[in-house]
Amino acid sequence: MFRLIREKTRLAEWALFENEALPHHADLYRMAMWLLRDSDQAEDLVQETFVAALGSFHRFEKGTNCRAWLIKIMYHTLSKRRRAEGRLRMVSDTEEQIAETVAFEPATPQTITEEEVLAALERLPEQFQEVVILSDVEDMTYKEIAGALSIPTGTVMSRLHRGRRLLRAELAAYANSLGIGQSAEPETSQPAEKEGGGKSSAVS
Amino acid sequence: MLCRDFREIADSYLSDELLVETNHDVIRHLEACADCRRELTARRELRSKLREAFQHAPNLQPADEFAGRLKAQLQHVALTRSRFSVVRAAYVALAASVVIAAAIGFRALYQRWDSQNDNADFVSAALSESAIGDHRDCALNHRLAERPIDLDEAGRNYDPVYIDLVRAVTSGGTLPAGVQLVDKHSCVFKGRRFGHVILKYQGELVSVLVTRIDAQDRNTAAAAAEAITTAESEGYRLAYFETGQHAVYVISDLSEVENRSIAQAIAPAVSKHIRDAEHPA
Repeated sequence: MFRLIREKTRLAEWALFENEALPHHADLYRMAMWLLRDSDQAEDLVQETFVAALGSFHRFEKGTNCRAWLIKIMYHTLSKRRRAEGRLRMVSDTEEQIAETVAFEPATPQTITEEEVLAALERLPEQFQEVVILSDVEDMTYKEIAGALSIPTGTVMSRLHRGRRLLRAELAAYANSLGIGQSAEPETSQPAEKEGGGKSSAVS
Repeated sequence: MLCRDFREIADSYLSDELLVETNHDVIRHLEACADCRRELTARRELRSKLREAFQHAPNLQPADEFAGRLKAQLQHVALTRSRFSVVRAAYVALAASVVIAAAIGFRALYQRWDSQNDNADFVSAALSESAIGDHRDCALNHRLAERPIDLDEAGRNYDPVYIDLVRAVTSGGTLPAGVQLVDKHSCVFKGRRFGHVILKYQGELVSVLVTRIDAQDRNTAAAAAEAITTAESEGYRLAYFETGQHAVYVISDLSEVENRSIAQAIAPAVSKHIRDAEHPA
């Protein structure tokens, strides 16, 4: 009898997981692919993430954002993997450099293509790319992003602010080169700042 | 609200992350300002393009058969293990109770016998927190406020114990098999300088951190030299010993026994190295 109960419980749990979590596999794969740039590694990471999620699905709060929960697990899995690989990298002063070099608020160009947006995103430093994607593509809240990346909410907000500003600067430079996408901005920018603004090569 | 103010918070407005009062201010401003309405539309459009670009980019799409493979693998895992079973949960709870009771008993005995833990309170919590912070921000997350420098350079400019520290750490000969040297440098966490040797053991990074002990770092008198204290804090394992003027930490995600074994392996050579530097002939 216990075996029968166990069997039914397993099936019910699996059905729930299949309906709630599995539909997000393509979103997770795209995110993994963006981060790793290798399809085999991206598949491995997504599989590892889903196995971990399955194991702790009882902790998932129904009614909350399942995709954000999965992305959080994926980032933790990736972080653990990188730690095990002993990958060391310095990212300390990038934010300060960017704060200094992006001094003005560029207007958002209005005539741009999807490919141009993606190419501009790719030129941002990694820590700005990830917050912009998690917020603007994955629709995660600041709090969910902070949980996924294990950083304070204030850091999420400042990185988002700078990341989006950089993205607009990248696109404004592109739009400028084509003579498009300029909107009036009388109260926000001085001509001198505009000439010296935009993302400099120092941060790329 | 000025246009300048609006443009600072326009993205938070689009993300619905503003307070209700600020939202009202934004709406009032938008009603009166065509430029900002245009800017908001452009930013909304940019987000939409970014989302669509991400979802449609050919090089980011999973292979057609990936969904099937993933589902089959997960289904197999889900249906062959019994972690969700109520019966199993009862067994697990019972076993856990026995383990916890045994652990409490063992801990009581261990604490009675382990005289080496007597110096646990000799060094301030702030010093241990700095060491943990450095392990976390430098070895694990690579987010340092200040760029690390070479150990020899730090030895010449700050503290001679950093010179040849790596040799002292790795030359003991009793380190467990499989320990690898990953990195070595001197770094600063919240104003405190450390000599930092990063090892890797069983897939985990292990920080060996050496720093000078100042008067304010001590709670009371000096601890017994080379006595190894172990602790767990912020989820990390710590093993600690000192040599009069310097503290040495071994910090990792390893088990207490494994982390301590590394501290025990390096303690004789590192202590001698530091003492020699503290009291040159």
